[in-house]
Amino acid sequence: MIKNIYNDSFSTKFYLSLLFIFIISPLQAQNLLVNKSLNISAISQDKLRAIYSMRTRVWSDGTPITVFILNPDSTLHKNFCLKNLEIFPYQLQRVWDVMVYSGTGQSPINLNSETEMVRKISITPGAIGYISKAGVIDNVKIINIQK
Amino acid sequence: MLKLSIYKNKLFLFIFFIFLLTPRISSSASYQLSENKHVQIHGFASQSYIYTDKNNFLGNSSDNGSLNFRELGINASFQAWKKLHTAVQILSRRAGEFDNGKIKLDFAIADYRVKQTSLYSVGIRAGRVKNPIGFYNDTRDVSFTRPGIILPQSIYFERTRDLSISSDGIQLYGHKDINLGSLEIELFAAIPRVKDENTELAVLNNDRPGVFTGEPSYLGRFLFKTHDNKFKISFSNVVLNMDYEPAQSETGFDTDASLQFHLSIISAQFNFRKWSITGEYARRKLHFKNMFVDYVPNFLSETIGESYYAQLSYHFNFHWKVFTRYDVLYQNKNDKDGNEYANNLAALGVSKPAHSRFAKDATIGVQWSINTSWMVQFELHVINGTGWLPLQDNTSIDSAAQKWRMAGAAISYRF
Repeated sequence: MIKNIYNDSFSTKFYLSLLFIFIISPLQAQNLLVNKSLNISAISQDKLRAIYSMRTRVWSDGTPITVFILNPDSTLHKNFCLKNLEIFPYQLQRVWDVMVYSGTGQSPINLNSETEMVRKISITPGAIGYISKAGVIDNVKIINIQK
Repeated sequence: MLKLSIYKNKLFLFIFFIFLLTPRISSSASYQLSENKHVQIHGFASQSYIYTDKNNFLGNSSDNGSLNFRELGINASFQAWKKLHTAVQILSRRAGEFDNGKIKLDFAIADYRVKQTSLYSVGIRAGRVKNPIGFYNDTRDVSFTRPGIILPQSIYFERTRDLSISSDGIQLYGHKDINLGSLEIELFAAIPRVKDENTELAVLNNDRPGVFTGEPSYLGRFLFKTHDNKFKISFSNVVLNMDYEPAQSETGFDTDASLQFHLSIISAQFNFRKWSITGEYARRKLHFKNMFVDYVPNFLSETIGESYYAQLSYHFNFHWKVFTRYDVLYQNKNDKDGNEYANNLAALGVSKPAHSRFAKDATIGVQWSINTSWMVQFELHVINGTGWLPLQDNTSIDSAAQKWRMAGAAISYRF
């Protein structure tokens, strides 16, 4: 029996692990996080897209927006694009690339972990980002997206 | 002089690879100096292989293919104050006989946002700024922003790339968010980079003994896109001025010889989930003044060139994309098969093929995005006509083949 499992073909193992991943992490929207000093409780999806496209660079009170993302290859980031922004990750990446490689803007800041994301947002006024898990954290608040 | 430039190229490559290897603070190459001040460093590298069954493109491609197509770039940007953004990019490009890999300054911009709110912005960019033309010109040397390895040649000519990439001047820009989407505008007054043998070949079909110099030129682009990115449309207009200083030996050229080039492009794109349809249509006109006075009849300067392409792409998933495109170039929209041109020149005793006045390119390609940093591309072109065939790579345009095919493969890295 053990010998049989060991001799399983690669493709079977591959599909089994895919299934495992799908059970464990269904495609879900992320929680939108901003620094607590920002006086907003909700944001429109259009505005959120404009912020993540780096087109809108200040909040309505004039505070500069600092945009954080997790690794663009991560499932979390892909979920954020597909579920919160409702655009494909490659479309957003292309917008950043055109700005970065023509000198007309900077890309969002790429962070290594959700812990880092929460920490950075809590110490940066005007910051925005996303996380998968909610929780009570100092200096940050979760805001809703209105369509 | 030659020795020094080889040294500089090696130094550049060395610095580039050091950047790749050293661990960075965060993987987006963003270095925080203070609360809101970030320096970002980004770069890209692309190596392509081009094979053509006849004719040459970007190197000696008909002789077992050419690896002489390589693009390397590195840039740094700094948000100095809330309203001031600065950025610089250097580029090393090897492209057959067009570019020898010498390091060039691609852009160096000081960008001041005169006014910005959460709904609109107005600003000024000064320095060497990328020319805003069509959908793909701004970052034409970055494979990640191109639909394939080679841009549609009917509009993004390799031959006139030097003129089109960036210019030195002042650009006014603005954007406004409205209900349906956003509007963007760029107005650019600049001196084009024309001191180049490639320019003479592109415009005059000959490396003439005189010298072109750039004169104040004007570019403008207006873009509208919907908030959900499903639709975008843009209008680009270019008026390029150049003076020509003829050599003593050049007859038919007055000392105040000049050239004016007009280009207008309309570009549109629809994005539905995994499908994307893109099209661009361009018209070109060349005005010669006090050039070719005695010999070439006016037919050269009264021609209106026409180009267009339609492109369809499909993203299977995050990693795989296929695309197909049909791209058409007419050097003279009133002489689409080039016969009138060939006959007119034959009457003057000059022999040039009619097929050098048009090109129709059917392309199919695939793109594999391994991850955000690495990408592989393959494509195949079936081409009828030599309208955009570079003279630099082909010793004799007269013996070029009308129907030819090109295959390309490329691997690219970005950070």
